Amino acid sequence: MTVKFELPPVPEFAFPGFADSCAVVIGGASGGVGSAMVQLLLHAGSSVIMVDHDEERSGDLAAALGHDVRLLPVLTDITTENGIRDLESALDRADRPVRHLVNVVGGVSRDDIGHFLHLGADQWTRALATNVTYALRTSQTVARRMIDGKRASIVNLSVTDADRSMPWFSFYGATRSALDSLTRTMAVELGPFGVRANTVSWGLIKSPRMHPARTSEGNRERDIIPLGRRGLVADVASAAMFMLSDLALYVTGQNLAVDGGLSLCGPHYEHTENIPVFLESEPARDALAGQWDSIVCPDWQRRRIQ
Amino acid sequence: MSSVTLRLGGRTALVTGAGSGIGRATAIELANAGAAVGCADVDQQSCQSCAEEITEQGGTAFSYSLDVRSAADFESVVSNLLLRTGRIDVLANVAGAITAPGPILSMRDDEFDEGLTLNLKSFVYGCRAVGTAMISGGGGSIINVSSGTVDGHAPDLGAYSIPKAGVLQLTRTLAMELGGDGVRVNTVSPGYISTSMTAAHYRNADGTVNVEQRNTVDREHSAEIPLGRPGQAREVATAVTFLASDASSYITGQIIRVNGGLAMPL
Repeated sequence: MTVKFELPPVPEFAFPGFADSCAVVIGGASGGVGSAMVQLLLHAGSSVIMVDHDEERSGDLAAALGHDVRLLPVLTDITTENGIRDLESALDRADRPVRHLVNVVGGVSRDDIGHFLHLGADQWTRALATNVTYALRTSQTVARRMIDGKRASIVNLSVTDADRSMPWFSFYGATRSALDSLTRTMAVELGPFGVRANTVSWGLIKSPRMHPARTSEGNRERDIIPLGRRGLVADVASAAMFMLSDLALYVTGQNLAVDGGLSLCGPHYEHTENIPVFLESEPARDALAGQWDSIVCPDWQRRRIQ
Repeated sequence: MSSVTLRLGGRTALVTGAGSGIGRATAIELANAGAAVGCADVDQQSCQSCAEEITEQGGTAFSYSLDVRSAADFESVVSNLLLRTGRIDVLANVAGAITAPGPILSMRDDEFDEGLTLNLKSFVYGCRAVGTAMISGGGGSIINVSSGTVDGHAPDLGAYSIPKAGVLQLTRTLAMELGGDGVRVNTVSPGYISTSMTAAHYRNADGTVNVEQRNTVDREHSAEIPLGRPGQAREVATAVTFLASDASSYITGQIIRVNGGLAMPL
């Protein structure tokens, strides 16, 4: 499903620490948090290497930003070794020192939402590639160029529930949790080089890729989120900018939740099927309920046919 | 690393402990971002000088003598600040002190009470005093400064670390209670920061700084810190200012640890 590209609105904050440097945004053309990061970085005075595999959307983003000369789009699949090589060659061409990296790519496609008993090995491989392996490779690649002792900062985006449980999203949660752990150890091992590493994790966000709610008017979200609304793309991007910026010079190894307080509350899935209450799309709920039925009563359909 | 661009123009902030250390740096940082700041401290001279420093730089500040152990003091400071600016958008609860160092087994009741009042009840007083004004103003942001002692072992600091752990729970409770009214509540937890509080470790008997001893203490602490150095008060202040601003408008009930990586609990 293709969603029309729209530039997400961002506030006019100009975060300090970007004026003479270059930032790398992995996954910038989504129209979501990545695109908001690109805008905030340019506004802060940074130049930006934006890595994305989607040529059309990358073009849309560049056009929407008036083909800013400081924006260098790199069209590649960052989950492949070719992608890492493309990133390296873009870094070679950067005319300013690279001081900031944000890994935005991640998530789970609808086909990969499923019960733990149903998910397969290929889905695990895909979850690793999409949510952790690429980010550790980009972090290594960029950090090697950051260790000249000057200030630098890496932010990995994650999800707040990764340090808890994520029924129906077990591979997603586990791979994000792996990234969170890597980030903490990166903070310790890269600290002596002046490189900070932090996580910004989001809760329920209104983004172009959110699973659409056919009939929802957002009432459910008002009930379960202490701040009473879904977050905006700009909310996550602003927090990531804080962590990247010189406002957070003594912050490393931390995980900042941008979730309207949702992580303060109890589990937000319903016993016993454990379907998350925020999954409001009826087809998606129906699909999970169908999986559940087939686990509870494997020959249910066969018996019904007879 | 000024947070001048975080756009707090037209807003009013109250900062406790504004006379020195993290409180003073916070008052100045909030003023740099455009806020009018009520600078409160038990030491009238020191908060006066903080307010003067802000106004000399072209900012707006008011000085308040405030004993945070008194709920009545808080109420009167808040009503005066409301008279002057008509609103309170930000409260930074920074004031606190290490008192009665020593093991729990030999701590007297009055010593523990003093620590509780200074480092926890005072935070409740502050939040209560501003809460109503924030709700009627359509929202606000409260930042409670806790301590790195809550993340690890802090023997002989019970009168400080136990109340500071309570500050985390106060933050979470208030975040839930006030979220629907648009009031966000968060904690900033500083690690080893160079302030007059940590300076207690390297003062000479006459109060002057023992430089050699300071460097030794800093080196010992730094060896455990991934960033390899003590933090500066201003580095805590920029985190407080971020939480005060709309750049954090979807963040509530959270802890930002400004500790150079010293502790990173889940």
